[in-house]
Amino acid sequence: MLKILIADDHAVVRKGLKQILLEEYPSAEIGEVEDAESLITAVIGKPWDIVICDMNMPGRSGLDALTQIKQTAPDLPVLIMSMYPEDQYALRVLKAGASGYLGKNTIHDDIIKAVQTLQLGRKFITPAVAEKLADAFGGNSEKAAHEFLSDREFDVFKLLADGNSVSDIASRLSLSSTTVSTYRSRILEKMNLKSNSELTRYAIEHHLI
Amino acid sequence: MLRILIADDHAAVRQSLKDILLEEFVSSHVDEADDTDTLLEKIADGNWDIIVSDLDMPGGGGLAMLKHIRSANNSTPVIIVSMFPADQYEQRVIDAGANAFLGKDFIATKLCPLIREITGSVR
Repeated sequence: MLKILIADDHAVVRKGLKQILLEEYPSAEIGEVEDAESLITAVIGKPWDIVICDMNMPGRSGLDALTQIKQTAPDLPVLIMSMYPEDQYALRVLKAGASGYLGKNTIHDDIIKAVQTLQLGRKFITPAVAEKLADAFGGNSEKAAHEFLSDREFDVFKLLADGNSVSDIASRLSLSSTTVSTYRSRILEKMNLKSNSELTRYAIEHHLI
Repeated sequence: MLRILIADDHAAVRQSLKDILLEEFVSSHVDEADDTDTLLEKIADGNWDIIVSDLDMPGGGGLAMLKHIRSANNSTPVIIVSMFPADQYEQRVIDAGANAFLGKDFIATKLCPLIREITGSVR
């Protein structure tokens, strides 16, 4: 019996996904969790065949959870889904060990195909992501400033751009305020930006928030 | 028969909305739109009892839709749903002509009673 664990902070999204999956796999066991902490606990607690995880959840991000899952269960395939277009985040999540990336517009059409691909032990790559990968390897695309950030810096970057204070971010990511301030300085330096408002403007212009 | 038009760019949310509505309003007709342009086309084409639309969608979302249909004197009831908090958006969508605002976390419990209240429909 196929065991799939869904992690998303919105019950309405979990319910819709569960319905789509159960239509194709009526006897599947579908588990649900609503944040990254519960996701890690559920992954450690029992074996799953596939994890489908939202990238943006309260507390630790899906990207952060993915990194930890890869340490505790390296062979467990993780499909990351997000509200954001696949060309912005797909490479980052694949690099972090995800087995596939689904933008919210393509979930309905692609989720079953993605699950089938992952069951075969392969990664699920959409044509748009394949093109992005080819560009990255071929050197056809000039790297955007945010692509030089590490995964942790990228998480902090998004939270800053979204208007969160250093202390808010520190408590969400379980870091000290000093560490977050260091990340902030490093992010501004790497991206050649001067303030949080410039950072927010950059994120909006690049459709990152 | 209740005719409900739902609009959300997240396919899983549309699926969930549809299931919740069809479970409660068994004989209703539920149609879907995944962006603002499709939503406006379907509003123009059909005679809907109620529209349930996401606030944030490609093409302007729920606010753009409200502006468009209310300026055309279309008084079809509209419920705006959103992942954003009510304290920031509720007044704005009500001012734009919505009948109600609902956070997405309350869809499962509050959407159907709200539709019954607005449309006067009993299952």
